[in-house]
Amino acid sequence: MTATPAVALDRVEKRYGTHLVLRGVTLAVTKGEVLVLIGRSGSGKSTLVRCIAGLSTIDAGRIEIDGTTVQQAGTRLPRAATLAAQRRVGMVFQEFNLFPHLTAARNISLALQKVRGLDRAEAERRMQEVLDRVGLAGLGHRFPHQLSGGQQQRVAIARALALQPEVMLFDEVTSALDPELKREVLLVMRALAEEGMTMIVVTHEMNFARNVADRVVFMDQGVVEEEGSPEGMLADPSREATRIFLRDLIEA
Amino acid sequence: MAGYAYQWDWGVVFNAETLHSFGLGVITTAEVSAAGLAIGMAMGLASAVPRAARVPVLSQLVHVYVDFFRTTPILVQLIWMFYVLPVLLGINLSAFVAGALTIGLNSGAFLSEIFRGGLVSVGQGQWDAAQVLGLGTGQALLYIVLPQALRRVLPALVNVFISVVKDSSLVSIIAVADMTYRAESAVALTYRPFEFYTALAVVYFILTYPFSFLASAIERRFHVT
Repeated sequence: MTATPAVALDRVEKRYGTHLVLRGVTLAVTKGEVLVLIGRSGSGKSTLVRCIAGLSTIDAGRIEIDGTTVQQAGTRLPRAATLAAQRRVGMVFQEFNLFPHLTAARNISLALQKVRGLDRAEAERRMQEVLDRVGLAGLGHRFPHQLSGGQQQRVAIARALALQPEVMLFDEVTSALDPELKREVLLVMRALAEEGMTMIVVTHEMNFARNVADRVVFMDQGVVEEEGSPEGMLADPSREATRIFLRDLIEA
Repeated sequence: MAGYAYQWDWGVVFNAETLHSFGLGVITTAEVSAAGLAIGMAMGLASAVPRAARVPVLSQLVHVYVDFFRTTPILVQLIWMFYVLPVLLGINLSAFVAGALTIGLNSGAFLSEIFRGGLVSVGQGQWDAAQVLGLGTGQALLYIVLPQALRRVLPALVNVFISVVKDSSLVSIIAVADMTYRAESAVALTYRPFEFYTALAVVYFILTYPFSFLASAIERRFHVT
């Protein structure tokens, strides 16, 4: 494959204190690919996503976004270039992390105006557009606490989409939601995948993995233990650790 | 025999000359309180941020400032500021400036602790969300973290505001002509302390009580979470 990957990790290590959370992860995500990351809590998948988002600094290795190195351990990189590349990545969190003192509309338009420098009318227009895209047109005036969990998470997705990212990171975005609210969020994510968005999705939703993922990566103890197509790997894992993890998930 | 039957004479307070003098005192009290609060808010915010962010040297300096003003009486600070500091530095401080400065630095120490608590109470998730949206640290603080922190500390803030107005009465000892000073002068002339100190208490009540209403109005307006 010759095309530049949307995201590339090269032997990435991350430690918290003496604990090595990521122990040399190498991974390339092609443009338009939907990659689903699975694994036990503590396996390093959330840390991996946070490193790609620029929220955590890595201790060894290198991360590239669309060919631009954004993190290289022990190297000071030109800040303007890394920031520009980092802005191609959007992220949605498990706990939504909406700004509770701002309306849904303002949650979305704030960065459009303050970071991207759009004027008010243009920011407003784009805000309406993304709210409509996640099925929440007309609810922009509400504060986060006036929305259901599913609606809040969709606002969070809209907020990230408004900045027109090329890659979207999802860190267990349905884990804090009641079962009946997970669906509306997963449907939005599925639509996004069908539109060709490059996505890295940390999730325990095996149906989503089966139906939407192009590739599934199983992480265990800070390394990529196994990867493959959802049909192949989820049905017939080749590694013992993967087999046990999938069995536990079904039995739970 | 019942208690001593004091003959109240409100005429000593309610006459044009005294009311005028007292009114000027109310204005001075308001001015010294407002100036003190402005200094206190600025000091409190400016010193809370480096402590919340654990900026190395700066947060230790802030710690010294906060501890010093919290552990010494404001009366002593006031006298020191007015009589000692000008001699040490060879400068002239008017009584009003010394008073406002002392009240400001003192309340700033308490506000610093309050703001720090408020800032720390805003979770890491808010900073993370701001960062992935591309907001810089200053922007995240200004638009995201500070507004939430301020709302959470509002009740504690109101307590400090009320304390400042009451503590401003101490400036009377360095001859700032606030309402306490004017009441004391009137007592010296009339030998009528009961009337003047009663009136004084009522006016302080009237000045400070609205703060509690203001706080609950703001809380309603901003849906504090």
